[in-house]
Amino acid sequence: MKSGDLISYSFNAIKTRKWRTVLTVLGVVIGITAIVALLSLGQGFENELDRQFQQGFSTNSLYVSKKTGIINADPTFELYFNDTQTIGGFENVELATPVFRKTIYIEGPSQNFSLNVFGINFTEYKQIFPFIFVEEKGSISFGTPTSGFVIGSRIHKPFRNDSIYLDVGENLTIYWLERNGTEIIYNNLTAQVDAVLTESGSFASGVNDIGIYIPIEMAMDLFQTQQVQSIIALTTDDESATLDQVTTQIEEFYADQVTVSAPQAILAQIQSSFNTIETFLASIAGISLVVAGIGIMNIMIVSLLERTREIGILKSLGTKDHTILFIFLIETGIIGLLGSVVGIGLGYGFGFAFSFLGNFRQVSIQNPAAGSIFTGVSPVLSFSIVLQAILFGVLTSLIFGLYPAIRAARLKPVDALRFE
Amino acid sequence: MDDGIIMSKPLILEAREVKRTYMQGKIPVHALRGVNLEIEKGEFIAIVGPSGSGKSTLLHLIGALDVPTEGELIIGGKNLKEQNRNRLAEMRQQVGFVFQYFNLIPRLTALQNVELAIAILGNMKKNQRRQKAQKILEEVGLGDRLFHRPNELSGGQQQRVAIARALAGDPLFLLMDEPTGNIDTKSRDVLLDLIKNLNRNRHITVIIVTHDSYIAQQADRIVYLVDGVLYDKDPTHSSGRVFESNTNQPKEVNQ
Repeated sequence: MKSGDLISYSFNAIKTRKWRTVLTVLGVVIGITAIVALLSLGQGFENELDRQFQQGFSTNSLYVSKKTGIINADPTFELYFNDTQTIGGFENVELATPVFRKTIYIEGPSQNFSLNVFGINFTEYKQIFPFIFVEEKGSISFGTPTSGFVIGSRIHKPFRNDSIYLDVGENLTIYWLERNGTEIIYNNLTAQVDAVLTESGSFASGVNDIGIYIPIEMAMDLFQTQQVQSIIALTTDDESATLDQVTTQIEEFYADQVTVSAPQAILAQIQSSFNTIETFLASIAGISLVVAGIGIMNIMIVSLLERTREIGILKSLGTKDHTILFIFLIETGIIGLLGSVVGIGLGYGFGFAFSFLGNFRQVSIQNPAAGSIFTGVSPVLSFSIVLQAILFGVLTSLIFGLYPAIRAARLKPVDALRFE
Repeated sequence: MDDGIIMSKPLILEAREVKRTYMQGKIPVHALRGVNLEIEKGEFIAIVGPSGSGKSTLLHLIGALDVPTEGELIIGGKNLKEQNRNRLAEMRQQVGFVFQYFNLIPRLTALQNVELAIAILGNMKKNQRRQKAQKILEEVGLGDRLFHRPNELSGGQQQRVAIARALAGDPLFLLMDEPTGNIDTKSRDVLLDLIKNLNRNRHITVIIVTHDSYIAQQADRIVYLVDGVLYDKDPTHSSGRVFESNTNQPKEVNQ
C-alpha cells in the first residue's frame, strides 16, 4: 500500500470513532498544554531576565551589602554612608555609591501600598545605570538640590495601561514608622513628583519600577540615619580577576560581615534555580502525558479487538504485516499530532492568561513587589518549543501505540477472520 | 489473469499429500490427511464436503492464509512451504477470496471496498484504480450502488461487491467459500449465473468450496472431501450418505 493510501485509510478509521478519538486526543492536549505553557512562560521569563540584566547592570559593578543569615552574620553590623568613601578608595575601584533603602507606605487607588524609597546620589547612580535611570516624564535634577520625588513607572501607571495614577507635578504623601528609643512615631511627608522613570523591569536590585528615588542627603535628613543598605562599586574593568580581587579586598576589610555579589553571578543563580523549578514542573506535566499515553494504548487495544476481523480481511486481501503495523501507528500518530497542535495553541494561550493574571495581581495585592515575578513576562513560543512539543506528543503516542500495533500486525489471518 | 505462471502443464494449483494437523490442547486433530489435487487454468471446480470434513482447512491453505503441516502445495508455481510471512501475503494478493459472510469493511462504500483491494497491491494510480473498481462493479451489476455502504445493500448485492473485490486484483483464481450460504434463492441464481459467466467468458478459474450439492453441480468438476481426504467420486454414496442440497444447513462452526 502506498503511504498516501495508508494515511487516508487510517484517517477513515479514526473518523468513524469520532468521540473516542476526541477524548483520546484530549488527554494529549492536556499534557502538551501544560508543557507548552510552562516552557513558553519559562522562555519569556528567561528572555526578560536577560534583557533586564543586560540593560540594568554594568558588568563591572559589585554590590556590597551586610551579610545576612544565622551563622557568622552579626545582626548588629551595619554599613554606613562613609563606608562609601572607604570602598571608593580601594585598589581598582573607580567609583562607590551608597544606596539607602526604607520601606514606606503610599495611598493606593483602593488601598495602601508598601514600597521602597531609595536614597541615592543621582549623578553617580546614572553612571551605573545609564540606560534605566532615565526620566520618561519631567526631569531628574542632577547636581541641583531638590526635595521632590523621582518615581518608578509602575507608580505612574500601575495598571499597565494608559490610566495614570500619579503624574509629574502632583503631590505624593509617603508614610513611615520611626523609633525613638522604645517609642513608635508615625511620620509622613508630602512632596511633588519631579520625574517618572522609564520602565526597567523588576528583578534584583537594579532600578525599581515601584521605587521612589530621593537624593541620599535628603534621605539621611528625613529618616535621621547614617546607615545605608548597600554600596555599589564600579571596578576599573570587568575581568573576573579584577572582580575577585576587589571582592576579596572588601570582604576581608569588613571581617566577612558583608556580602559582595556581581550581577552576572546573581543572574546565573536566578537562572539556575529557575531551571530547577522549570524542570520539576515540566516533569509533572510530563506525567500527564504518560497518562495520556496509557489512554492511547487502552483505546488502541480496544480498537484492535473491535477490528480483529477487519485485520483478517486486510490480510486475506494480501496486506503485509508491516502495513497493518503502519495503519495502527499512523492512527496513534494522528492522535498525537492533533493533540500536540491543539496543546501548543492552548498552552501558549494559557501562558498569556497566566502572565496577564500576574500583572493584574500586581496592583491588587498589598505588597506590589511580592507579585512582580511575572511582571513584564510574556510567553515566548520559540520554534524549538514547538518542535519539542510535537516530538514529545507524537513520540509518546507512538511508543504507547506500538504494542497494540505489533499485536495487530502479528495476528494470524485465519484466527483474525474467525474472530467474532 | 497472470500468464507468466504457465509451466509444463497450465496448472495453477497442485497439492501433493497435503496434511494439516492442529493441536487442540494436547490432542492432535488431523484435519487434512493427505490431499492430492490439481487444478488447471480456466477450470470451474467445486470442492464438496460435509461439516467437519476439513473444508475450511483446505480453503485456508488454498487461500494462502495457512500453511500445510506436511506435503507440497504449489499455487501459481510457488510452494507455500517455502514462503515467509511477507511472501505469503504477496501470494494472497493473487487469490480472489470470496467469503460466506462477505467480509466487506462496513465503513467503506462498495467502491472503496473494491478500491482497497487494488490499493493493497500498490501498483496503480488513484484515478486509474477508481475507474477499474467502478468498471468491475458495473460488470457484476452494481453500477448504481457504488456509493452504498454494505449495510445499505442486500446479501446478494454484498456478495457481488465481494466478488468484484476479489476480481479487482486480477487473481489467479476465485476462491469461494459457500458463496451462496447467506443469500436467498433468487439472489443465489443471479450469483451463480455471474460466476458461470465469469468462468466461461472471462476464463476466470473458479474454485468453490461448499457443502451444497446444488451449487456444486454447476461446476465442471466436483471433488469430494471426506475426513480430510479428497475423492474424485462421492465415496459416501455407496454407504447411503448423500450431501445435502439445502442451503439452510447449519453453518460450519469455525466460519
